[in-house]
Amino acid sequence: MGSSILDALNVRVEGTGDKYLVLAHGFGTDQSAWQRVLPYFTRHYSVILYDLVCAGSVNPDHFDYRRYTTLDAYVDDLLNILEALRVPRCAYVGHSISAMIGMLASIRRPELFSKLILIGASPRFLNDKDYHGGFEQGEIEQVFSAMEANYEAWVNGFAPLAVGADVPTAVREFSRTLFNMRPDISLFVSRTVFNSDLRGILGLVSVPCCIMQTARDMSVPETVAKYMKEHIGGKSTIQWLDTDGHLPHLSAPSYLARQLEIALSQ
Amino acid sequence: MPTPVSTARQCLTDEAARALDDAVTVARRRSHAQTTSLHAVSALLSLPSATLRDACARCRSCSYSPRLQFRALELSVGVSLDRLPTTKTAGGSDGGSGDEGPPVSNSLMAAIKRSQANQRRHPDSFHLMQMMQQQQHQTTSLLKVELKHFILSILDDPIVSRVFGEAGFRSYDIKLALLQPPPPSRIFSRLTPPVFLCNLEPVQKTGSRLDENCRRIVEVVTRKSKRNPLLMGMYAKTALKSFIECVESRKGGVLPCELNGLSVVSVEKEIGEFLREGGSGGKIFEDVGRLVEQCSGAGVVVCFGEIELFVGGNEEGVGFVVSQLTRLLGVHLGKVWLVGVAGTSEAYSKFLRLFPTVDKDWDLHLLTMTSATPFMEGLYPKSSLMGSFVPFGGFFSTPSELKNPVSCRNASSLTRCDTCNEKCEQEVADILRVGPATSASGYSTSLPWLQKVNVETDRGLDVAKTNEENSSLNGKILGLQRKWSDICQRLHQNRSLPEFDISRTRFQVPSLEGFQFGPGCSSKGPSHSEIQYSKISCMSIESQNAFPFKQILPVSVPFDTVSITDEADHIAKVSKSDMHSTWVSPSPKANLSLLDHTSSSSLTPVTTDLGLGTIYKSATHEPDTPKLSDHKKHLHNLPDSLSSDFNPKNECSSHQIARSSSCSGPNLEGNFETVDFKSLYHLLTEKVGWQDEAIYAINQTVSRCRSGAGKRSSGSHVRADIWLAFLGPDRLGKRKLASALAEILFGNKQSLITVDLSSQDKCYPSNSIFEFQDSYCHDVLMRKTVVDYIAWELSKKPHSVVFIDNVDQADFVVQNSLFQAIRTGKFSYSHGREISINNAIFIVTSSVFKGSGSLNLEEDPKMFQEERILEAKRCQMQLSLGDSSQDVSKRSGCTSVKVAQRKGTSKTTILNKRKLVESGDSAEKASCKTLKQVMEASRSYLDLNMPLEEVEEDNNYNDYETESIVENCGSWLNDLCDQVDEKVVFKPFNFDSLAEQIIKSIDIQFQKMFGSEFMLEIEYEVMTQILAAAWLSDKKKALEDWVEHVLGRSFAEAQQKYHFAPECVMKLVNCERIFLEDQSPGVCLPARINLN
Repeated sequence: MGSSILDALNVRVEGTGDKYLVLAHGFGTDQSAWQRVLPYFTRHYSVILYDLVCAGSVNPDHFDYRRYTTLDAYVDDLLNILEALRVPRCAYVGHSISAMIGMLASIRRPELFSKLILIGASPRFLNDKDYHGGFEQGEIEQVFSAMEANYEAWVNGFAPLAVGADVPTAVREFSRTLFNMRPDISLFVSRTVFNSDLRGILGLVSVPCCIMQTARDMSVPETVAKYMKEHIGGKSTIQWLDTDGHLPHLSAPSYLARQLEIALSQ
Repeated sequence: MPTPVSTARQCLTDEAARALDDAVTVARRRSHAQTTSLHAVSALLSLPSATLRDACARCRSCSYSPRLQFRALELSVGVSLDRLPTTKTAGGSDGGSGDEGPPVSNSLMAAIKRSQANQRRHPDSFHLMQMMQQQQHQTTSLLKVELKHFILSILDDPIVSRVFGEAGFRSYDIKLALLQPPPPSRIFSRLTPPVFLCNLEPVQKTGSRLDENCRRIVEVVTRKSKRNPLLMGMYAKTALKSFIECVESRKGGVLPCELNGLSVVSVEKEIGEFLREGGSGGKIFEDVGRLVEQCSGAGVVVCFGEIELFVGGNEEGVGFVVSQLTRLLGVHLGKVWLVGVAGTSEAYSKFLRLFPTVDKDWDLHLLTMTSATPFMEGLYPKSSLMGSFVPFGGFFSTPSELKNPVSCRNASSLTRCDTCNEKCEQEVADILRVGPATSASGYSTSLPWLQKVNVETDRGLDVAKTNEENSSLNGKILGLQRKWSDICQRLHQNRSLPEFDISRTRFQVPSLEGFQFGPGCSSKGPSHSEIQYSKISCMSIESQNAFPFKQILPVSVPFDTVSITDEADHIAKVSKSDMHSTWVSPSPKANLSLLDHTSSSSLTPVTTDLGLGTIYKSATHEPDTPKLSDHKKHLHNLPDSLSSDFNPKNECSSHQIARSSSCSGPNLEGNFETVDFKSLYHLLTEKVGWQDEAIYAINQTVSRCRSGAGKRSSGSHVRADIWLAFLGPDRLGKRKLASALAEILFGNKQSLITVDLSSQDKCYPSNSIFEFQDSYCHDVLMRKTVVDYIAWELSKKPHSVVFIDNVDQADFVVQNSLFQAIRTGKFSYSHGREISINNAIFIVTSSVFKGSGSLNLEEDPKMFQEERILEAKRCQMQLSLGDSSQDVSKRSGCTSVKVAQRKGTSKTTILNKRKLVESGDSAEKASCKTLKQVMEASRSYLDLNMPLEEVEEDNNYNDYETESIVENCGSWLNDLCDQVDEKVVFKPFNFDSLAEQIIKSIDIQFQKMFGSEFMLEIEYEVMTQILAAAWLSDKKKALEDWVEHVLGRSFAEAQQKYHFAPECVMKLVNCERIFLEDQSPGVCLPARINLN
């Protein structure tokens, strides 16, 4: 069983270090998003890369609509991978949805994680009273219907917005991976994400966290980062990134790598 | 002969037969004589959930809307059916087939037969059911055709595929879609669960209607320990509600069998009431206890509601409830579950504070409920989305942002003209077979350039045959041919070249070089003499190669016969010398003397990379001369490879091979040969006069490497890349030298690729005087990694100086790439791709790292240090009148221009710099000494600044290096520096003496205007700005000009405007807030100085 999940989710372990580092990609990307960041860590870490089951690079057969209705199913996958690799302890870098997954995983298995680095993370994307998540329910429904209507057009419109910074290569890369996702899966996953609410359980996160927040992230307002820092149970810090957009690992890889290095060494 | 329907039906499975029946119905309705494939298609499409329709949906092109395309298909089928002739007589009541309808046409029957055969051939592709059927029908020889195969065969029908084609479908795609299983999302009643999800399977088996949250609750409940779920999160309540509903409704097979008869009781309300109003709480739990006892099934889930209730006060009551629940669990061990919810972790932790052991007592398991799941039910049957499904996953290759140079080169070979290539190959074959004289005549049809190339080989071959009898050469020449065919491709467009004169095919091997001179000689006068020169000197092939092919000429000029004869002569001689194997090893000097002649040649950075046998063309730089450069390549390739072929025969040492080839390689490169090393020295010294030792070392190294004696050239493998490490201070000097090298060696300043590794984290402060110097933008590095940037630039201009400033701050990735590059000649960048650096000069600098022969830089403290100068800002300057910041006794006979201390220091120590105008050298020295003494006397400067410097540096490291990198920094840099061709140690720039000179010249100006009575006080910042500008300026006189014109004019204005009192001093200060607007030409200083 163990090996099959490793195959199914394209798990790779790169590098020779004795410490483990998980690089988990976010929605709309796959593990290739880390390709420019990865080399910075292969010397000091054994870097674990995997694809979320919703990624375009994973066989869509594995995406079970009944199962992946909640983030916990993704958490199961992550924990299964770590178990299959017999990872005793690891640092975890998660982007967007993977940041959520990482937090949930650390709640379940706090001993497994030495540190969480959460990039573009949000406990909840929808606004609520006293909480500004950045999206209104109505807006989201519009997005969903746009995705349903014409996925390609939506991708082409969404990718530059998400990347934020004026980095055509990053936009291209993100568009590619986003478009690789099957539209139905993509829609389904975004529904899952937008229907998730981690606010209540942030206090259970006891692993030290570093929240990395870029300057203009269309998905995550700055207040969210502050909210998370306040509510996360363990020690948490915010690292403001001097770059734009939701995908700093695509738009400013070397800068992000450096920040990650710093955060990991803290 | 049409087949009766009944016969055809026998060949089909029930499913397929039904489809056939439908087709027959269609045919009958339209009163067609026969049932054809088209009818079958029509029937198949009209089925609501047809396989064919489904396949079409999956393979449809995404450029049309699905509805539209299906409509088009239906229309197309309809139209085609309309075209078929209707036969009234053949309708319905025709003979025996009356009941059956129109008989099956031959084409459709053939399709059925085909599918039968197909099915027989691929028994493995059978469906399981079909297999069983087969076993049952083993006795019957008739194979029943499955619907899928039936459809596949029908699609083979040309009429059908045409119809599909009209609607924008390709029948091939449809077939593929039929063969491939549809995406899983469409099969809701799938038999097998996904294989890899271990933790899911029990539930998968038991029930599929459970939503994910319930599933997880059930999972906890079925466990042996920690079986009482506490749901936490925003969605905990909804999850609990749906769980309760789920248990209560007892949906068939929803719960695992262990939980059969599970019941749920919610005491939430009761507990709430009890806690609010008091009363007999015990009754609640007695009821529950009774319920459990009565329960015949697996047990009872007791839902105690929200934790928030428990922490809202009334501790006594809560304590009672908690203890009762604990008791309940203990009494009915295994039959009772507790389930509760907590909205937030805060409430839970409060609860835990109240009852520290409750999680143990209740055997609680925290379940995070972070997702709402009601939407799922409605989602997956949504078919509109399926319509837009694009099965492109993984289809797109990563569009590499960096143009992969390797692939580019490959691409050129891939795209090369096939015929060209073919001809080339074929002609080589001809040559091999027939021999030179006859083969030459066969070229008239091929491209001129091709001919030339071929003739050259031809000659090469000739010689090879006559002189060497080396059979292995044939293969090599073939290889050469292949290489040339690449070039040919590029030359393909250029047909304006002169036809090659076949008569020249008689020349012997070395004549190749002579021949190559041909164009040069004919079109340019002076080059003739060059030929003579080479003739006399009887240089070896390589030195001839080094000869100025560069001077390329309008190619349309026909060859000059005179020059050719010249060549012939010369060739004879050379060949003779060649035969006697008098290989003149190419000493740089000899080259130089040759190269002297050629310094006027055009600067076309073109290279033949012989080390790799790859040909570059930097077409971007000289779009006007591509064919010329290609020509050169032709010319150079052959002699080189020939020489390496011959050498072993001549029993030269392998060393010589390396030499000769390397010489002919790099020396041909770009305009390199146009630069004499002596003049290189001069040119460099002109730019950076103060680093003469460094320049000497650079010069030596460059010439050594270019002659093939570089460190990394070994054996036959020659590397043309040069690696230099510039160590020590003088950042600007290094940079200037690098830029000068780029300009001199590669022809333009754009051939410099600058990366400052320190600027990754900090830029120059805005308005820095050095701001402009950074050609390379911080922003770029943010977005690209350093290695990608370098590789990208190198791919654009392989002939470049790569200047890596502050290499000591290289991150791990850069280090790796550099090491690999220096070892292998390939610079790797992201995704493991590589780019050849064989034509580049790599310069790495470090001001921190001193190298092994560390020279002592801490000789004596300087007034102006490089760090201070680098901080200089571009500011407007102002002349003002003010009190002397320190009373300086005015001495008669000596005017004073003094430099005030830095503002930041505690006490403004004025370093009175007395300058005796009339003083000679000795006086200057004396003043130097006084300066030094003053410096030493006023320790404040040193005390405040020297340690500060170190602290800053330390901070820098802590900031942007991870510890491990810092640890390794020294060692890896040591390793790198050990591998470079030369470590060039720079001297610190002597700012103090420059300052003295400047002050002297300012003093002259000042005195001219004001006489010797007044004093000029120059702010330290202003002085650093002036020094920085002087350091930066390329022109020697620029600063003097500035002092004379700008400053002098300002002095004059000031004199008119200001009234001087004796106790006043003139001050030259900077206006920090005013940016420098107009800049003096040639120097980074204001064009005008403000007066107030």
